[in-house]
Amino acid sequence: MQIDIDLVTYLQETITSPIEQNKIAEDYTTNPAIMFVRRPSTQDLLLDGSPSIAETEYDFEIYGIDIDAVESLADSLVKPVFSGGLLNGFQGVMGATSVLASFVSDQADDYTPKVEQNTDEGLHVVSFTLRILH
Amino acid sequence: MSLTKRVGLGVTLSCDPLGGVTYVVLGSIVDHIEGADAKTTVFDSSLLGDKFTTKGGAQIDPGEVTFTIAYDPLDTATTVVLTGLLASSVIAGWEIEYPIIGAEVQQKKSFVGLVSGFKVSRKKGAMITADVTISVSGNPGF
Repeated sequence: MQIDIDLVTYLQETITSPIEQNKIAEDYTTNPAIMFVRRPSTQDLLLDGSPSIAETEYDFEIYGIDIDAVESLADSLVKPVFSGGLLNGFQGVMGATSVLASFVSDQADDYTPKVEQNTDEGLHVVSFTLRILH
Repeated sequence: MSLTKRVGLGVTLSCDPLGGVTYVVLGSIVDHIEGADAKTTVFDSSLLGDKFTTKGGAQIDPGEVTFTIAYDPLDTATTVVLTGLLASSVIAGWEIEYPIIGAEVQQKKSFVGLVSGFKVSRKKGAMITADVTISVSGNPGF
């Protein structure tokens, strides 16, 4: 879907960390990294059948070994665009998509311990929901 | 001209307290700007023998514009401007600006009116806000 490509391209203009859709790289030595999955996407129609505003939601996860790096990367995404962030409150052109508004919600942290024994090294995870009107 | 679908994010309301066109954005509007709720005075032009009433339009009341601001007694950009206008009943200039979509020229709509209502809401556990009412004078400029 075009907006998925546009979103990745938009983020890659600023962010050098790996960005993947739908999957986590098996080798997560390059971290922190970003993973996102598309959730309900709705294309509203006007009464005559012509397209109105589409609403697409994404689940984002930022994961990595170093909690500071993870939180810092997450901050650069969820901070209001007004304050220099990338996603929350963004509107304008995103590749071929005209974004009318985007909102970040439900930000939460988690920790996933490794299953290997005798190690306490796990993955810090920041998750949030992104809602884009386009 | 095709229809451009729009959302409310990024819409701003600006004010010139002197009634001119040197607008300054009111930065602390919380959520929405309602109105103006213009309404035509409709008169009944029926004759006694008419089965169905006939109607005509007379003057149009431009109505009111209402919005909610984050209230801060020290905020000279918004709160002090609006409370000052309430006290003076001065007809101020107002302008609504819409975010630019694509390559269009920015859309602006202006009108004049006086601040006729200012109601502060203070609640435990919520941001203090004030509901502001502007009584529009003349064409509301849709």
